[in-house]
Order: sequence, then C-alpha cells, then structure tokens
Amino acid sequence: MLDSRQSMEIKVDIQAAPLSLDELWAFLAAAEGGGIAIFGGTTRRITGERVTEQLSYEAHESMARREMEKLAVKAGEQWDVLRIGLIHRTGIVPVSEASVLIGVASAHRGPAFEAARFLIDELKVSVPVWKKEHFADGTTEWQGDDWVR
Amino acid sequence: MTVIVNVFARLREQLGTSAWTESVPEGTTSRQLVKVLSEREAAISELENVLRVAVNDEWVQKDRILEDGDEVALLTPVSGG
Repeated sequence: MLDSRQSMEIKVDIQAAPLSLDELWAFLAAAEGGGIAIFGGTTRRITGERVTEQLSYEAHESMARREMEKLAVKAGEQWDVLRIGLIHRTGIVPVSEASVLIGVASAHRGPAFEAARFLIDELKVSVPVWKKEHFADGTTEWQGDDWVR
Repeated sequence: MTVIVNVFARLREQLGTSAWTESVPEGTTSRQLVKVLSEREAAISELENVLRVAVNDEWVQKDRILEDGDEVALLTPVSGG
C-alpha cells in the first residue's frame, strides 16, 4: 500500500558567506505546502549594558552538520513537516546580519511554527558551534560557560 | 596507537593549535585521555569539568575506549545560534 505522506527533505549547511534567505525560501517553497516558517538569529547590538560590534562563530563543521541533520530528522518524527532547512554561518557576523536561519515548510502552519521553535532551541543545546563577542570597547569574549543540559 | 585531538574556539586559542596527534596506550578511554592532557595543559585542566568529548563526530561517554586513528574532539559548552 502506498504511504500518502511525502518523505521529508532536509537541507543543512555551514558557510562563511552571508546566509541567503532567497535560497532557503526557494528550497522550502518547492515543497508546495501551505506554510513556511523561518526563524533568523541575528547579531544583537545591545546586551544589558554592553555594546557589541560583531560576533564571530566557529564550528566543528563535520560534527555540526551531523548534529543539525539529526535534529531535523527528530523534528520530522515529531511534526508533520515537508522540508527543513538549517543553515549556520561561521566567521564574522556583523550586527543585524543573520548567523542562523531555520526554515520549515509544512502543509499547515502549526507544525512549521512548532518545529522551527524546537529546531532553534535544540541547535543551541547540542550543535558544536561557538560564538565570540567582539565588544565596542575592544574586548572579546567566547560565550558558553556551561551546558544547557 | 595514535589518536588525533581536535579543539575549537577558546580552547583552540588558548592552546595555539586546532589539532595534534597523541600517542596513547591501547585501551585508553576518552576519560583517561582528557586526564593526561589536562595534567599537561593548564588550559585543558581549567576547563576539564565542563569538557565533553566527541569521537569521529559523535558524542561519547567519558569511558569510551579509543581506537587507533580516532578523531577525538574536546568540546567546551556550545553557544551557537
């Protein structure tokens, strides 16, 4: 008997170049579903009383790709989604530019929102990527003092 | 046997290298390797309590027995996103 569900497609990437919303959108829209949710994580200027000039990111690339794929598979098991795209940037990410894009296409909007939230939350827990703050006062600081779990 | 040790981010900066080859006795566990390295390197010792280990791109428990040629990554708490 044929399974009426379509198999989910996953796109994972880690790149130094600026992240392309158009490319992610094209990948997700090709699912021909009814909704697309995209979350973008961007470099924040103000944190408390500190002013950030830029962030830089470093990844254990081969492992990060695998961990991102695993998260996408897990999301596909929990929600009825058609396509998932996860892209993380490395190197310098200036204020207001995106360090991460998470996109989910689904037949209806609910699973897209929920899966996207799950994916960004879990990416921050388990994907081996590190963020370094470059503050306006010239100091730098690697983030990540302890594991979330 | 030898394993390759990979470090990233703050540990890479502090050690001044991203990877090196380490000779270890057969049967060495990831926990034993971290212990040996932390006795030699203050930067590793300072972070030992929060370090997690991955072997060949997979998270492993600290008592994982290493094999010749394994790529061992010493990972500090992640902060991506």
